[in-house]
Formats: sequence, structure tokens, C-alpha cells
Amino acid sequence: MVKLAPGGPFSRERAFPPEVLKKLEEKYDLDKPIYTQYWLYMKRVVFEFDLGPSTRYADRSVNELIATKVRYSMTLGFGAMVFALLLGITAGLTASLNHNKFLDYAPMGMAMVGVSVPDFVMAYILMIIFGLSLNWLPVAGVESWQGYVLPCITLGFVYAASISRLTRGGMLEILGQDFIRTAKAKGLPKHVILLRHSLRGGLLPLVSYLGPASAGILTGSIVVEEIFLIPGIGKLLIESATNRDYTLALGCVIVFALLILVFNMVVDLVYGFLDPRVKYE
Amino acid sequence: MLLELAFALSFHSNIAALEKAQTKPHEFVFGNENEPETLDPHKVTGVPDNNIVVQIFEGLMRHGQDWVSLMPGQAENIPQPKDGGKLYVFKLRKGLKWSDGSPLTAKDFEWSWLRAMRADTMGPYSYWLTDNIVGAAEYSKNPTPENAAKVGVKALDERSLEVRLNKPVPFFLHLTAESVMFPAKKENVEKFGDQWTRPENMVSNGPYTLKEWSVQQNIVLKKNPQYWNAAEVNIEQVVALPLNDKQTAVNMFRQGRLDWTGHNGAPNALVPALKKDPNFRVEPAFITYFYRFNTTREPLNDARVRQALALAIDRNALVEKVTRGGEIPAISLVPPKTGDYVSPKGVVSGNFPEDLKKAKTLLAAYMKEKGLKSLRTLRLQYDTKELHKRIAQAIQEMWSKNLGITAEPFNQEWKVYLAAQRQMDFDISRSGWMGDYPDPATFLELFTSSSGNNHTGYASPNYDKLFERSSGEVDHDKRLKILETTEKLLLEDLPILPMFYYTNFGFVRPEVLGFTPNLVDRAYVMYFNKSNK
Repeated sequence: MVKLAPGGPFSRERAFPPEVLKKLEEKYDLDKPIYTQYWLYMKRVVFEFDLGPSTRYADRSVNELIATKVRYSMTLGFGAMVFALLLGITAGLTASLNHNKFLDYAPMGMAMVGVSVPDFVMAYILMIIFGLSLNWLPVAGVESWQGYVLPCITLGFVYAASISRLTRGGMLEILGQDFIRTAKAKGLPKHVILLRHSLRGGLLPLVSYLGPASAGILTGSIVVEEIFLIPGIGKLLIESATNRDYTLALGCVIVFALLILVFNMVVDLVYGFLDPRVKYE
Repeated sequence: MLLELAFALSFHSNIAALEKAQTKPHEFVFGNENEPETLDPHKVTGVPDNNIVVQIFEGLMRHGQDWVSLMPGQAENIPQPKDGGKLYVFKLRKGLKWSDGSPLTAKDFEWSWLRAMRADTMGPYSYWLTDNIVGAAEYSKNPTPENAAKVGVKALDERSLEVRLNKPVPFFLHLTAESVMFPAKKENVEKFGDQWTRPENMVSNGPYTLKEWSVQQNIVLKKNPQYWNAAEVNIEQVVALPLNDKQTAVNMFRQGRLDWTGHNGAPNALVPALKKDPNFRVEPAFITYFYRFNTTREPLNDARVRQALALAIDRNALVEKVTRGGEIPAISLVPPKTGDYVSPKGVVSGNFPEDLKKAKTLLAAYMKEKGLKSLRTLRLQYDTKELHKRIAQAIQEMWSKNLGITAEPFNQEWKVYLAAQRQMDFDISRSGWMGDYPDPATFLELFTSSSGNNHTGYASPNYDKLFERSSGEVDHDKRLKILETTEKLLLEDLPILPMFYYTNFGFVRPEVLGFTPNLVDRAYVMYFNKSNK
């Protein structure tokens, strides 16, 4: 599919001299028919785990590029997820325990804003406040851990919003059930009811949401990485597509797909652990 | 757009609040537009590559920070051409060393230039050598030892390099100050192959050496103590960040984390507001913005139609109301400040009301001759960028209002646009060109019929002949006169529509000394210093 887009990796504003272009095409097998290219590529990927050389970064292989970049994206994604969970669950619990009071409306109002504001707008708002006005945090770059704070918040906020709504919904449903009433009747303290009896069930809808959310965070990271100058694979993917760096684009897509698969599988396993109704044979 | 405006406002109220520099006193941190594709001097392609390579390597000549003045680099003086401009003998400085301490000799230059010209080195600028040096074209295609012996580059002894050219090339010395003519160390290139440009493998000969290179994160250079002029190099460390997002560049500058935002280091829309900031500078660039006409299609194959289209544009209104980055209206192809060359006037005088009258007459004559009531709709392609879109819309309106001609702007993704331009699949195509060396030939060469970057279908035997003659002329003044005639012909035939000359803009910290802006927006860090305010 990448090849359907017109232009190639070596079409530039300044033309390459024809002999040089020929050598370049030979080097990257682009002079061969497309099925041969496909076969050569698949053979390398499947049998040698070699994603090939990058056509743009003349001296680097796709494996190397991805290997050095994936940790930045993972750190960003992980940080965003932790932030989203902490904020989302706290807000959701607060709201559900204070049903139809101010402490319900306030977090839910915030959540509404969180869902509606696109991440690039969020990014700039955070930059203005914490970077440029208060000068607490760097506006770009990840030389130190502080550099991750704003991007993680930006990326995590939308998901925090959804998570809080899901938590609230799930908890309200559970809190209205008979076994909670029993627990209350037994005179158990409030925190025991909350943590031991209701949380496990109340979080179920949330867990099933985490799979798609992880995928979303991964793909959302593309924009955030660009804005905050994080050298992750999201940035590589955008660049490779516009540069028609076929091998790098395919390599990034393969890695993204693998990561999404892994997350979904982890979520399924966790689901089984939390919900006794789901059994794996 | 709205967001950008909000940003502009927030800066506006904050202009005095530039944070203290967080970069170190002997460090220069700048925004490099993009991640370099390669740091192999013989393969460099774009501005980001050059921004690094000129710090770590040095050619026989080198440019001053103004990029126009030329001084001896690895050579000890500027050689006088002999044999009617076709022979140069360079004398290297005494005791030159590579960054690993090994001696650098004329042999290194001989080997490097042979490598740079070979097609299998795959460098886009190899044609600078193959077009000009005796025997280079043959060797490029067929790099055998016999062909190598015929190439006009010879190390006569440890310190003398003889170069024979096919024809006089008046700007040849400028070429020796650019990346493709820099030396590379044979032993390292042969030992490490493609990996020789990695920090751990690279040996270089410039004011700096490569310390770290982490893709899309940063490039760190440190001072090279082996450099012949190391005593004069003040900045100890250079850091380049790939800042694609211009807003990010501005933000980082505000936080004191950049010394220079780099080439066009601010979003275009902010330029009018930022101009008030004392640290923001706008300077003419060595880039012309123009439209290409497809001269093989009706009605653009008739010079009168092209002239009418070029005459019916109010360039002043365009730069004042649409582009707004301080651009200069262009009625020629070669930008101002190209050495002592002055572009001639062609059909377009720059006086808009007068030009418009002429346009109407020309168009009427054409329509009458062809028996036409109106022209067909012209398709105007541009590549995705807000600025190009706004320009195309303004031009569409001007043509429609002034000549009654309908143009239909349409947006193409960058590579699609390039492909269409190459296959001449357009009526009118947005274009721009940045000169490679400070000489009018770098622009005028484009529209010779054999140029690989012509893309207009324009093939004028007269133009080709004039251009050829100019490169054979040794006398500087006479040569400029011929180039003037050449450009005049182009500006009468108008296969292109010159619109404006770009500007370079960005922020520079007040502590940085020696940073004079140049036409190509390049920093030669070796000339800089920082005041400890």
C-alpha cells in the first residue's frame, strides 16, 4: 500500500544525477518488480527479523532506529497511562461516592472538558501555563524526567476523563447492588466496603476499556511526540510516511501492530483475574 | 491558526520576559530544522545535513560567516587560476592533522574527491565534480584504476593538489568550501563502511568533532584540538536539536534553552508580531519563490500569455498582505546580494498599474489571433502548506479580477507534487529555489534545456548558448554582463513567474557574538563567541 502513493524515497526537489539514482535504486532493490521486492522483504523480516535499511537515513537500519526509539514511546505511553489511571480512578471514585453532589459534578465537568479538548490544544495550554508563564517544566525535549511530565499529562488527560466516567458508572452500579447493602448492614467500615467489595467489580468496565485505550495512547503519542520533541517511534512513523521511507514506515507499522496486540492480550488476561465469571481453559 | 494568534498575544505581553540562558557559557545550542539524513560530506543533501557537516569538516577554502566571502581553509592561500581558468594548484597548510592526530595530506583530498564523484557513493551533489573536472564523468560511471589515472585531480606531493577542469568554472573556489568537496579519511571509510559517520568511528578535520548523534534527539559536537586554527575557536560545544515544529523552537527559545532557533525558526503567521522583539531578526534569503509554467501546453506555450500572467500580479500587495514575513517582491530569478551581480529588468517592470496595462494588451492580442473569447481554466498546483495555499488563492483572485482568467488552485502532498512536477503533469506549479553557491549561475543553470531541474519544458537554444558562453568567460565583469543578458532572455520568455525572494528569520540570543545573518541561514559556529552577561 505504501507504494501506491506517488513519488518515491528519492524524489526530491533537487533531482539526483541519473547514474546516482540508478545506484540508489539498486541498493534498495527498488529496481526490481514489486513482487520480488515483496518477497525479498518478507524473507528478511520473517526469517532474519531484519526490517531492512532506511532509505532516508542513509547509514542506518530500521531495526536500529526502532530499537533506539521505542523506549521513549514506551516511557511516554506508560507515564500517560499511569497518570490517566491515577487521576481517572480517583476522580471516578470521588464522584460515585458523592453521587449528585458538588464532588460529583466537578470531576465529571472536568471529564467533559477532557474528552472534548484535542490533545494538541491541551499541549499548548499546558506549555503556556507551566512552561512559559511559571517556567516550572521544560516545554520540549526529554533530557530529564521533568521533560516527560507535560507530554504524559497531555496524552493521559483524555483517557483520564473517560476512565473517570467509566469508574463512576461502574461503581454506581455496584454500590446499588444487594451484596453492598448486606455489607453495609453487617456494619463494615466504609473503606472496607469500598476497597474489598465494590472496587473489583466496579472497575471491570474500565479494564475492558484499557485495551483500546492503550492502542489509542500509542497512536495519540504521534502528535504529542512531535510537539514535545520526544524522539519516539511515533515521530519516526510520520516522517517515514512523508519521506516515502518504505522500509521504515513498514517497520514502524509492524511494531505498532505488535504492541497493540500485546496490550489487548494483557487486558484479556487481567480481565480473567478480576472477574471470576471469565475462565480460560 | 487561532491558536497561533493566541500564542502571538501571549508573547507580545511577555516580550521582556525572556528567561535567563540555560545553555552553558561556552556552548551553542540551535534548532536544526530536521534530522540530518547523513553526515557523510559526500552524500549530504539538505540544509540540516550541511548545518552539521560544515562544523566538523573543512574544505580547501572556507566561507566567512557572511557565506559570500571566501578565505583559505585547509589550503594556505587562495590560488590564482592558470591555463585560462582551467587549472588550479592548491597548497595545503603545514602540519594539518585529522582529529585523531594523524597527518592530513593532499593524497587525502585526491582520494576524497574521487570518492565524491563516483556514482556508487550515491551523493546528490556528485555532479559538481563530474560536470567540471577532467575525466570525472567517465570515472563516475566506470571507476576503474585506469579511469582514475585520467581524472584531473592529482596530489603532486604531500601538500600540493593539482586540479584540472573541463572548462573555466568561475565559481569553482566557492565549491571547494562546500560539503561535497570536503575530505574524508580513507582508512575509516574503508574500515567501517556506512557506519563511518558514527561518533565512535568518525574522524574529521574541521573546527569540531562529532561527539554524539542520536537520531531525532540531538547531535553534540565538541571542539577539535587538532584543528589548525583551534586557538581561535571559542565555543567548546555545539548542540543541534531537530526542531521540526517551529512553535516548539520558539517556546524553547523563550525558556532560554536555545541560543538560536535556527533556519526559519518561527511559524510564519507569527512573524509580523514577532518582528517587534529585539532578539528576532528578518533577513533576505538566497531563495526565490516562483511559479513554473508548463510551456508545452496551450495556452501557456505562448509567451504573451505567460507575460500577461506575470504582469497581472501586484507583488507588493502580495508580500504586504499575504506572506507578511518581510519578503521582497521579485521581478527576476536571481536574488539581490548575489555578489556584485545585478539582475536586469525583463518584461515585468514592478510598477503594477503600468504592468497591468501591458498585460491586458498582450492577452487581447493573443485572444484575437486565436479567435478566443476566454482562456481555459488553468490548474495551479501547490504543495501542502498554509502559506502556499494563501498565495495561490491571492494569485487566483488577482488573475480573475485583472485579466478575467480562471485559475484553479489545488493542493498536492509533497511527494505527489514533486512527481507531478517531474512528469510535467501541471499547468502551473508552485516552486522555489535555494542557491547552492554565491553566484548567479546557481539559479540561471536551472532553465538550460539540459538541466534536470528545469520542469517547464523551456528549451531555448539562445539561452543555452549564452549560459555556456558565460561559463567560458574568464573576465569577471564580462562574465557578469553575459549572465545579465542570459537572465534578461529568461525574464522575457518567462517560463517562470518570479514572485518574491524569501527571508530568513529566527531568534538569536543577545549573548551570542559574531552571528551575522547570511543568505543561507547557516551558522559557522567557529566564528562565534558568547558574552558572559
